[in-house]
Amino acid sequence: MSRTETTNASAIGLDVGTSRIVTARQANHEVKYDVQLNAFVTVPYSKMTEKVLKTERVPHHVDGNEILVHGNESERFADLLNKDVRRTMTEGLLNPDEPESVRLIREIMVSLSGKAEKGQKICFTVPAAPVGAEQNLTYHEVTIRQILNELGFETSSINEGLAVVYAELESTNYTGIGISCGGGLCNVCLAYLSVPVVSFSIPKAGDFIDANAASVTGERANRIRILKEQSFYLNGHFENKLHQVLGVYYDDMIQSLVLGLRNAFHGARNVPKLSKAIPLVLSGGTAMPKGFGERFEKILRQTDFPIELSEIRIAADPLTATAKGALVAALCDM
Amino acid sequence: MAGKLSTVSHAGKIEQHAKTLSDPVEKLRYLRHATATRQSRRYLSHGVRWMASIILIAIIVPLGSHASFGHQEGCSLKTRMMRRSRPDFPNVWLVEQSVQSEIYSNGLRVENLLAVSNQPRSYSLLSRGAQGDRGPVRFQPAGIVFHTTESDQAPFEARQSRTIQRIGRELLLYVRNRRAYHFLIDRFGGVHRVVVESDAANHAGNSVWADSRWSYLDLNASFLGVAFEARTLGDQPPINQAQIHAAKVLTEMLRSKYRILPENCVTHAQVSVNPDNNKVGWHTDWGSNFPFKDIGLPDNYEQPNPSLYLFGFGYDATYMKSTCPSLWRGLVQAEERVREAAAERGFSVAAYTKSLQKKYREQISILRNRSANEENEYEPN
Repeated sequence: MSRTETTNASAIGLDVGTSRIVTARQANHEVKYDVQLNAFVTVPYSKMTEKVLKTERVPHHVDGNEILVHGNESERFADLLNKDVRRTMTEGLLNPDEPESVRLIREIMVSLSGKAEKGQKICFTVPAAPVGAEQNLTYHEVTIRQILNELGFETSSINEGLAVVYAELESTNYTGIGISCGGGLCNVCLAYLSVPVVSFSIPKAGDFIDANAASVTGERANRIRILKEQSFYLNGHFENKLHQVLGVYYDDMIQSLVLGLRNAFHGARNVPKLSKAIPLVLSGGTAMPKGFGERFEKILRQTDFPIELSEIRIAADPLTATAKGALVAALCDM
Repeated sequence: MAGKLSTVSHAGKIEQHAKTLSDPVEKLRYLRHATATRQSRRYLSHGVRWMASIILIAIIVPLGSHASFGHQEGCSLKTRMMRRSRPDFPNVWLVEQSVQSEIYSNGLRVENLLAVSNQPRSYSLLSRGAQGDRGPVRFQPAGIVFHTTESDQAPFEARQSRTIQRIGRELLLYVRNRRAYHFLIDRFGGVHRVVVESDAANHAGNSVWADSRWSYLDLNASFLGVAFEARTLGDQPPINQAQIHAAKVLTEMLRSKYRILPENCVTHAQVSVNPDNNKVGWHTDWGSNFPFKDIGLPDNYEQPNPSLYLFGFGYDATYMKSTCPSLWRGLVQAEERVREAAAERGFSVAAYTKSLQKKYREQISILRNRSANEENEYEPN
């Protein structure tokens, strides 16, 4: 899903995730996606290295005695150098421990969306506040908005969970529950006729699984993530120790997500009483392993979940659903 | 698991029409428009109004306070990065919630039993620039106005406890009927939710305030009203330590929940205006002795009064008598701003003040027309 063609980009949907940044745009009646890892790795500066990176067209920039390789290539370099990639974001928000995070996100966004055409609209995703915490999301949202404004875009933002609803639940008039299971957070939104009624996030997602599995197995988190996305099946039968460990932490994450959902919807006074069952859609990179949907449904059905669900399913393309929803919202504003 | 449906009026019709639209974007555009119109209805049945309110609450939750957006605009990214590690807002969270009450992490307990709804909160932000351009519409409170009820008082003595409780209860019912405030702090420091925060309350009347980016007219819609059960008598502070503590934890919670800037936490005497004579201080409660420091706020009395330097209001001797020296400093600073702005534009102070007053009348007229239009637009069929 790399950028392969120039499109008539009237509007862009932008999913700014902890793990990946994804753009969606319409081209010839289809939606085209571009994906970059929202990560970077540093390598020591040398003229030779810089020359090679330039020749190979590897996205990078020089910062003093270091070269910062960012985006998809960072993973390859991290693996090569036996390092973990560093993140510009953590738990859905800009990473305060990485002073270069804003600059790097800007670089990644430029590589994905380019500079705006005049009046071009972009709708970017923002997380919801975690359950039980009044986290300040303003700084994050304003910073992303400012980067995009500087690139010339007319910006708007959308809650990640709502974006999943807009991407996947057109058939139910945008009524249902959308969940984006990303790297840092699971974002949840219950929408009724396109209106977000309840939104929240749960700070336990893919990074939690990677970090804990890494600590148990002695592998690097980055490698765990690659293995998890390439070969892990959540079906109860594990081929090796790593799969068994991943299964344990996936279960833990799903249990937390289900418990969070149950408590949030039980406790929220503003949940409407719905006359009919509504669908629930799961998306995001963390929801990609086979068996995730079934495992989630099994655990959810064991709880006294207060909303009747007509179906529980995985999004058609879990990795790009949020960006697609943001695109729908951007097009709607035109 | 699903209970009886409680939906937006005409939801069935909206759904039916939406189903006829095959284009996802068109469908979303239609639904957003249709549901937004329904949400804004002024004349809704009780059940429907409840639904509209909850939808409004849900919409505003992810948006964050626009006031804080304004506060940060113009700062470099680096400055903002530094600010993140030094948050300006208290961190208070809901610990326990029931139909009767809420308990927060800072010890605040809010009694909910008599909470009542009113007209859903919605207001246009106004740019502080010369033109006073209208900014986006917001649904979340941008500030707090503190009031005193100026109601009857029994002596604050142990043997009067029953009487104090009875009077407090009667007062609570009175202000509830009038949708007069969002919160009432009784004489024992009890905090009662009166009008739900998603709705406006009739607490501020003609009123003006401004922060670093936006000005606010009609603070009923844009600010929360917090009233102390108290009566101002001479120079004595009208409230006790229990009330001060309650106000402190309540203010912390509200500032945390809505990201309210400290400079937007002010008293009724600071914001009240009388458009008929272009003077500030139509109401003068908390014109002095408001314990800003004890409540964890800066001495906002000293802030230049925006009614003067943005809209040309003046003040009179009665206002001076009812207010305190630190508030006077705010008046003097505001007058200085008027003089500077007039000089910059080559106007006399009188001419510039008149132009500001004209701007106020125009802005108020726009606001009233908007309200009237909304009321006409949302008349039931």
